[in-house]
Amino acid sequence: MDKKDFNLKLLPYQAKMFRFARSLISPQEEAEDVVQDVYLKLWNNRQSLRKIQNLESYIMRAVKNTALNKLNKMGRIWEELEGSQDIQDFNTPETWTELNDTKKLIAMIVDRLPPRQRSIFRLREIEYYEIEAIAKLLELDPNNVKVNLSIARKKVKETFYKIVRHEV
Amino acid sequence: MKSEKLNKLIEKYYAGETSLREEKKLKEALTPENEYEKALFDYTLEERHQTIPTVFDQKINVNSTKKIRSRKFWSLAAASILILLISINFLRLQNTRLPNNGLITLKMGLQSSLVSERLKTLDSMSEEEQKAASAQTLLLNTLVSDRNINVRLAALRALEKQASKELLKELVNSLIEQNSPMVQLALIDLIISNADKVDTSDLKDLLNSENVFMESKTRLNEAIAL
Repeated sequence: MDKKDFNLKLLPYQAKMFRFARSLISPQEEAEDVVQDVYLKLWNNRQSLRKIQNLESYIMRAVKNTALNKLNKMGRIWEELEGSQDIQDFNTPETWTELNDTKKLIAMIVDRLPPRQRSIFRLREIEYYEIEAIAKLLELDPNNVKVNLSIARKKVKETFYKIVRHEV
Repeated sequence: MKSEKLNKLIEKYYAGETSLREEKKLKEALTPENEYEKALFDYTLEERHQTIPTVFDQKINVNSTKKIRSRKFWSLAAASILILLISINFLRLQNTRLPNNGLITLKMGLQSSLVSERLKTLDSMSEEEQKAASAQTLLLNTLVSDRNINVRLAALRALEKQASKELLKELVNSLIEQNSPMVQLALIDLIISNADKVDTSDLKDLLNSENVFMESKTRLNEAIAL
């Protein structure tokens, strides 16, 4: 496979890769680095790409593994960051300025979801992934995905109203 | 859709039980009363169509990756020699030094495997630190050899405030080592804005180099014409 074929094959996934990496790891520079690493790995293994049936899920798995490895190196563990977000975290000048921009406020709340819920929420709402596909990618039980998705959806809404009603 | 049916669908949505098809229907059936859900779906749509960072396109430029791989040995050799020359030159030309512990902190920060750490190290440098010859050597090293474009650009930013004639010569020399058009252009902009300290013949040499990108050559040509 030459570089033109490779580009044609993979470039359509770049935004998706970046968004997914961003939901797994912050700050943004680290997410960019993850995507760059995955691209290099894929380029180095380009000969075997032909044999892969579901390229998107292969790429997204690579993004996940690379991001989680990086988190590990940073001394952070994705699974352990579970747990409810303290509503007081939103009592910041940053939140006050976003109050008038509903979409920005929602973005901020989603960003502060616990990592697993955030990834599930974003894969469903932004990438339109089926529950089974999310379960496979994140190596979780489909029911677990549904429960976490439900919690995340409710939590974003509740937090949104709490902030808007000045309960924080 | 009747409001009763819509409410049931919303309930199902929050329980995580809706299919993708039902979610599509839900989005279409929302009324002004569902203000929050409307904003939520607007946000998700916006995220989906959000453009990715500008540097991103450059970073995953596979063409340059291939170029790096195939020229790996020679690039590394050339970079090492260049760094060595730069180091010797700087130690000879300037006497200002950072206190040892400051230099070690800087060195460690720049060697971190995390991009954010390296960026933080560069952004937190004081003007005094940027001026020190030993720090400038490290910055030039970073500019030539760091694999992350953002870090290289940050190193260039740290160097630009102290652009002496000697430093500019090193920057001109380092241009051919850049495999990113974006860093090359940033370097050229810096060189052009300090044109009075640069030898025009050095710039003309760059025009003949095959390691200088087309975009960079265009910019250089414009500068030389002026």
